Amino acid sequence: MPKINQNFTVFEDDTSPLLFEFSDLQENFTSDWGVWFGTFESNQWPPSVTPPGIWGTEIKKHTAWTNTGNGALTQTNGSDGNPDIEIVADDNIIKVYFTQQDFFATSGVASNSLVTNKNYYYELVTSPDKDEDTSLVAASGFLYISASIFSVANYRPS
Amino acid sequence: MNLFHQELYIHEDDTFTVEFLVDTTNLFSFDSAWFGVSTTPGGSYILQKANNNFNYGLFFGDITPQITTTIGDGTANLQVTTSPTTNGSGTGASLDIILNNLGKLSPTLGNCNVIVGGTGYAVGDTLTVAGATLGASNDLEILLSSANLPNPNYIPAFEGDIYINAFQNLYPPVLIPVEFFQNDFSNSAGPLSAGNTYYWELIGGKMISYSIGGGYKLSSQVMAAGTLYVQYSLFTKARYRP
Repeated sequence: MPKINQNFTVFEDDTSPLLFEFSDLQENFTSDWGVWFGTFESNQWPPSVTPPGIWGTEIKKHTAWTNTGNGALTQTNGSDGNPDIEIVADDNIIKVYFTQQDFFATSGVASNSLVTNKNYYYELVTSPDKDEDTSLVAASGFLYISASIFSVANYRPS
Repeated sequence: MNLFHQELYIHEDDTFTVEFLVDTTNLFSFDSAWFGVSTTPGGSYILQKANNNFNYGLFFGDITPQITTTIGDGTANLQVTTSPTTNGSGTGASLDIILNNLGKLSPTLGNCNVIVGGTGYAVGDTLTVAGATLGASNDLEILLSSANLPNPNYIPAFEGDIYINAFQNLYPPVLIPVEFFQNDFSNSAGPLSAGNTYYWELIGGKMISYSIGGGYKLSSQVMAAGTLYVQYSLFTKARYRP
């Protein structure tokens, strides 16, 4: 059963994981699964007014997929060089890692990134065989990017 | 799990410790902790507390490019670990030096690496290793540049009033005590005034780069956040806390 309207707060420039735990899986995840996480700026719920097709994705994180409308996908990495999303085989957990490159405060205007004090709609999409044909929005909701006293103090250089 | 929306109520001029039990993985006692208080959410801090694990002194790694007085007649193939003297106020740095097969050390010959960064060094300081230590007729001199030290603006001041107690070694949770003293309050010229609500953050950080080549980079996370209300104290009002 998809988990909808799951809301989180992440502080700007945090290096932190979001863990999605699915307690109602028929079987645990395996290495055959693929997962994709994306956000776009919005305050609307449910997201029915604006067609999803015109939404511009702010950040995307995904494991390898063999087939999507944009072809095959390769694993994305965070600014620490490690995979920024992970589907844990033989378990029921998906980990989404945020690193400084995801935030406007570090990445700047040139890249898609999360801006402080804004709300983002997000989707977590899974597929048992890394194929968009079998994909499912497994979780969605809002992600709020909070300002951070530590960042304002300039203690998190890019 | 992070601890957000935590409400702290404290009395003015109290000396006390707030202990945060944080379920954070891979945080050790040698990692970084910072506590900041602001008058607005996500604003500029008016009070900060940091442990001493943001500043490791000189960047680690090859410091031969900063050699200004070379060694030309030292002991061939000598390898020595030594603490240099300085004309500044720094202490505690340690260098691992290897002279080449002709007893030479220069920006292009031999090796000289910082293995302990020490504390208190500044750009423009000269490090000196006595010639006798290297079997040479002159001293080795190294002039520190901005490439050898982190930007001081990135480093919070060490106040000695916040700690990480990783009492289960590898395993979470960790206990982070944050100490408050009278000088944190306005009656003792501090920033916190009774009758006001403040906003705070507790940060945990891990150093992921501290080297001449990689620079200073900290992986950091807000582990807890919330409000802090400073209540008036009868004891203070009765002038029992001058």
